[in-house]
Amino acid sequence: MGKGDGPVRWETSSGDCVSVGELTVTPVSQALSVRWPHGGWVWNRPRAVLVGRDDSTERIPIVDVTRAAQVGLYALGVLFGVAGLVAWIWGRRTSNGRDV
Amino acid sequence: MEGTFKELTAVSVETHEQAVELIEKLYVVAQPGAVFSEPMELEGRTVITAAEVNVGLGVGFGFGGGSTPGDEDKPKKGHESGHVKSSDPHERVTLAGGERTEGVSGQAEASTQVEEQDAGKDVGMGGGGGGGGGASGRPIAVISVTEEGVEVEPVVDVTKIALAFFTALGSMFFMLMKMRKAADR
Repeated sequence: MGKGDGPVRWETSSGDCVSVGELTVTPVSQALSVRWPHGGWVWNRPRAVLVGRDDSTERIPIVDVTRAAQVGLYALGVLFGVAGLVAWIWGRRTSNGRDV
Repeated sequence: MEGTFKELTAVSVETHEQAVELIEKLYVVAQPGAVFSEPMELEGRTVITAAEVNVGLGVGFGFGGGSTPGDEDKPKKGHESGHVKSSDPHERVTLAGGERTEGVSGQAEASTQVEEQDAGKDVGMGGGGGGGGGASGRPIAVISVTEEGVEVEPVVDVTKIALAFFTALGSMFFMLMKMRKAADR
C-alpha cells in the first residue's frame, strides 16, 4: 500500500496476526520514509488494530494522546499570538485614524 | 528490533558499499515489527505494546588527488607498482613508520615512493568520510487482548504535555504584555 516509489514513501503495512480465542488481532502501522543518496530517515507509528471476530472486522484506531495534546496546545498558543497581533494592528489603525 | 538497532549503530563503515548496505538496513525500521512488540501473556491477557520509532542516518565520503605539474608520470608509477607487486591486493602499502605487511618487492616500491616524496615530486592525495545518525522511540499505547475483546490504552507522557502547556502559556503571556505596552503608547 505504498504511496510513491520515489525518495519519499508513505506506506501502511499490517503486522503478524495474533489469535486469542475467537479473536484475531492484526496491528497496522504507517511509515514515512525519506531516502537520499547517502542516507535516509524513517518515521514509523502504530495506526490501528484490526479485530476480526467471526466474519466481521472492526478497526480500532490507536490515538497518540501525547502528540494530540502537544499539537493542540501549540496551536492554541499560535492562534492566540495571531489573534493578538491582528487586534494590535487593528487598534493601531483605529487610533491613527482618530489622530488624523 | 534490538538486534537491528545494534547492527545499525555498532558497525564501522569502511567502504561506500558498506555504507549503502547500512542505509538499506535502516528501512527495516519501516516494518510493523519495529513498532509493535511481540505478544506477551500477562495475568490472563495478551499484551502488545505499540511505540513510535524515528530513525535517521547519513554518511558522506570524499576523495581528492593531485600531482606536481610536469611530473605526472613518475609518482603514478610508484603508486601503481606498489599495489601491483603486492602478493595480496587487499594488503596495505605503508610508506614510512607504519607496520610493514608486504614482501621485499613491496618494501622496495614503498621506499621508492618515499624517495620521490623527499625529492618533492610526490602525489598529493586525501580521503575521508563521516557519518551520523539518530534514533528515538516513544511508547504510544498498550493493546490488551482478552477473549471478551480488545482494549487500546493510550500511554500519556505528562511531562511532554506539561512542557507544551507552559510553553504555550508563556508565549500567550509574552504576547499579552507586548500588546499592553503597545496599547499604552
